[in-house]
Amino acid sequence: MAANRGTEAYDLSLFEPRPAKVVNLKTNKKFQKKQQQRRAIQSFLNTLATICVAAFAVAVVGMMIASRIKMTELDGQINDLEKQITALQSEKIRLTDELSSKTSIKSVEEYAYNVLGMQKIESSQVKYIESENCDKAVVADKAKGSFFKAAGSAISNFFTQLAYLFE
Amino acid sequence: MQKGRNSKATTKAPTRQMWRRSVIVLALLLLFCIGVTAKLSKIQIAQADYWREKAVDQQMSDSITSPKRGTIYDSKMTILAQSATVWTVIMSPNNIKKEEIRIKIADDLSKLLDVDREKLYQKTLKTKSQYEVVKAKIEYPLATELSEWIQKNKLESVFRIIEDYKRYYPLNNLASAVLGFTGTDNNGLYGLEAYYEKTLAGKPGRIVTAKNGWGDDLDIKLRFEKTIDAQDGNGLVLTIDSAVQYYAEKYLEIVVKETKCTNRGSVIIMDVNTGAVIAMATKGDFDPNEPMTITNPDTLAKIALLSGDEKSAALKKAREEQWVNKPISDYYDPGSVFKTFTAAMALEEGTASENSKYYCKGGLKINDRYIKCHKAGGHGSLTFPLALSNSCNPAFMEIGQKLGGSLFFKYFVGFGFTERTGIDMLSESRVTDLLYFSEDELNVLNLSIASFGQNFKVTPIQMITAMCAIANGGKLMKPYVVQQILDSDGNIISNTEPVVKRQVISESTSKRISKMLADSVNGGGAKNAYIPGYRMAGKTGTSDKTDQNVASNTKNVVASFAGFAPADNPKYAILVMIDEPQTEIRFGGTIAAPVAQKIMSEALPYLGIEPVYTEEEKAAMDRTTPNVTGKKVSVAQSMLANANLKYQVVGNGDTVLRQVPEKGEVIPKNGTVVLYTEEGKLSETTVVPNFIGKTMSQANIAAANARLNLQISGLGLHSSEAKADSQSIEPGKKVPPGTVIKVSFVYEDQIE
Repeated sequence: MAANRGTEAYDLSLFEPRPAKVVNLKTNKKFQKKQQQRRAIQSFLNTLATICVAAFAVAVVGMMIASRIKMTELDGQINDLEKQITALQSEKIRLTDELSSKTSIKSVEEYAYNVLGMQKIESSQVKYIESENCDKAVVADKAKGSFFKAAGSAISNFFTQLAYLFE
Repeated sequence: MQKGRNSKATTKAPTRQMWRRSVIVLALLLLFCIGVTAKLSKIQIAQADYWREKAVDQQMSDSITSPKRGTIYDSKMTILAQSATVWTVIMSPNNIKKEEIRIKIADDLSKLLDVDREKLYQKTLKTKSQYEVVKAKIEYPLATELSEWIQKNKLESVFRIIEDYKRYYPLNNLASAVLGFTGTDNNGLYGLEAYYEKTLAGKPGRIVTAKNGWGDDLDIKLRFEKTIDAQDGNGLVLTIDSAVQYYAEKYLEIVVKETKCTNRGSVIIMDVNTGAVIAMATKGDFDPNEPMTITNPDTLAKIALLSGDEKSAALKKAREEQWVNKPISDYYDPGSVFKTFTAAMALEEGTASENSKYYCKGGLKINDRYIKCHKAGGHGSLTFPLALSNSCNPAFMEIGQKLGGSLFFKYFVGFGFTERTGIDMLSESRVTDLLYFSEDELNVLNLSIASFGQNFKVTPIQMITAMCAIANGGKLMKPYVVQQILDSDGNIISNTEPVVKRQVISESTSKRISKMLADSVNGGGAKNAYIPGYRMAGKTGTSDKTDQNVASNTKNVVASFAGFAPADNPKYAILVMIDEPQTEIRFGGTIAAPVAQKIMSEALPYLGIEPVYTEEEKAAMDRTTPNVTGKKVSVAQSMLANANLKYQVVGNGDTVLRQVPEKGEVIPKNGTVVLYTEEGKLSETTVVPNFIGKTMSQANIAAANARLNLQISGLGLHSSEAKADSQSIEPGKKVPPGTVIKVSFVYEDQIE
């Protein structure tokens, strides 16, 4: 207890340590059970979440690996196909070359002369026709009609074109 | 224990010597550290680039990918040269462990790949080697067969089949001297392949990949790869037309063989208005698919007799000779063809006109030298056009002298005879002043000789370019063979436009000289080049190879013809040059002009030039036999008479059972159709006489006696002096009466 120095303004005893009060609480068994259940559920859920995350991670990694494998396979297939394309293009060029050689003007002429017994056309076999007085195209002058005639013609043209569009 | 240690420390303190040793060891360590630091600094800083490169080399594999070489097309987009993937077989003898495998490889592959067995076996013995080429550039079917063989024998570790490119020339020899060829490394070595190497080659690509310690590719997960795609080469579209080129080569080859020509022949056909080369032929030539193969059998036979170095040298020389593109690389004395230019110079300068007169008494004495005309006895009195048409040397010496050296040289330069034409081709010959007389050297004698085309040299390409200037109104064009450059997708990158170098003569002079040249073909010295309906113009030439003849005591000549058609509206010019014909008659008019006639007869209709016949030509034109078989004899007779044809009836029947010639066959005007009216007479035959060497009237009589029809070719309208040089059915053969025999006539008059 602190000494009283004649004044009550300061009650220092208030600041002195006091023994703690011991409260005897009543144990609530129902509450405890609930708590335990909640903890168990929480624990189960945590485990489940962990498993799910792990499974998801494994699945993602697996898919990535699988996709890499697939990509590699496809890469291989593309390479094979590209090689095949190159080879076939080369073969096409070789065969075209052979064909060009066989169908060259020289080969065709030799075959026509020697095998088929053909001959080149002679100038006497060409018949020339005089074109001075035949097959002349005549363009008709535009008719000079009245306003009504021109309007009638324009309307007729319009409907003709319309009919053509919806034909 | 602690006590003992302390006492030891106090008793055994480091001595001076120990200190000294320690200092020495430390110093040595310091020196070592300095050395190591210095070396590291040198490697890391001073030689950083070198070692980085080494490291990259060790860790990375860098392979070059070849670009595809550009395609070459003719003017109608026909492929003349193209590249395709092929495969090269590489063997790694290092991986062959057993002798029996070596034997199997040698046995099987020598048969499969057609290689020498012993050489292949020797390659398998190079056990330290990992790279031996077994066969280069095999094609797809063989590569497939080889792959199967490798898999079957489990020799994947021994063989690799790597991609490469091969150049294909589908039309074989056609235009080979123009195209040239590529080498084993796909680089152009000759012709356009070499001249346009940068355009055609493209840019190589690269593939950089990481590799492991053994030099193999890394595992797929660790693989690093960077690819820079190769850039394919650009394509060329030529001005050459493969059909016209074929016509040129076909007839040139025949004449080179027939005349036993020893220094090859060449033909150039050029568009006179643009300078575009439509055909450029050389015979003998080579197949660019097999450029190393000697094509001339005579040369091959000579080489076969040699051995060792002599043989190798002869082979090399023969190959180089056959690769030469004669039209742009060889020089020749132009001879009388050059009179065209002397005439043009004189007309342009007014020192001569169509009315100028000359007198030829068979030669002309200049200083102390007498120069003969080709016509012994001389031409007598001549006008200017006749002097050109008859190719009179003395007249042209006089024309040249009147013109003078200075003006002659001015036009000689103007026509481009002192410079390269600038054609876009490899190895156009250099033109030096050693090949012609300079202005100062043109004294009276030299000028006189040069006026008729001797004692100086030109290239065929110079000659035809100058002839184009005569034809096109006087413009000297720059010749070219590449019309367009295309990128690898076929888009046009560049297009060649015609270039006029200069105006050499006026348009009116061009027209005047063209008319004279047309007259020369129409009845003058160049009449063997006459084509009905096409108004050819041209000049023949037969030049002595003077320098060579003097040196080797020979009498070789160059027979040539240069001309153009149609004369009144020139489109295409042609030059035919036969170098060293070995036949008895070897004038340009006899040898070269008929070649030009045959080529242009096929080329002009193909090139879209329509014939325009004169009334005289129409009247002389052959007929087509009408169909009278199955008709009453009287009807047949009337039909034939209406067609201006004669007839002869064999048998006493009243219906025509067979006719000779048959319907649609060509028959000459006033020809005879034989009409058979009895079965028993159908097998009647007559013997074909020998027409060779006969004049036309003699041949007509022989044909009439044998009851045959004569179809004449190779003749102009003035045919009395020509002689038959070939016939379509050989003499002595039995044929039905009335059969049409095609006989070709040529003029053998000795006009150079």
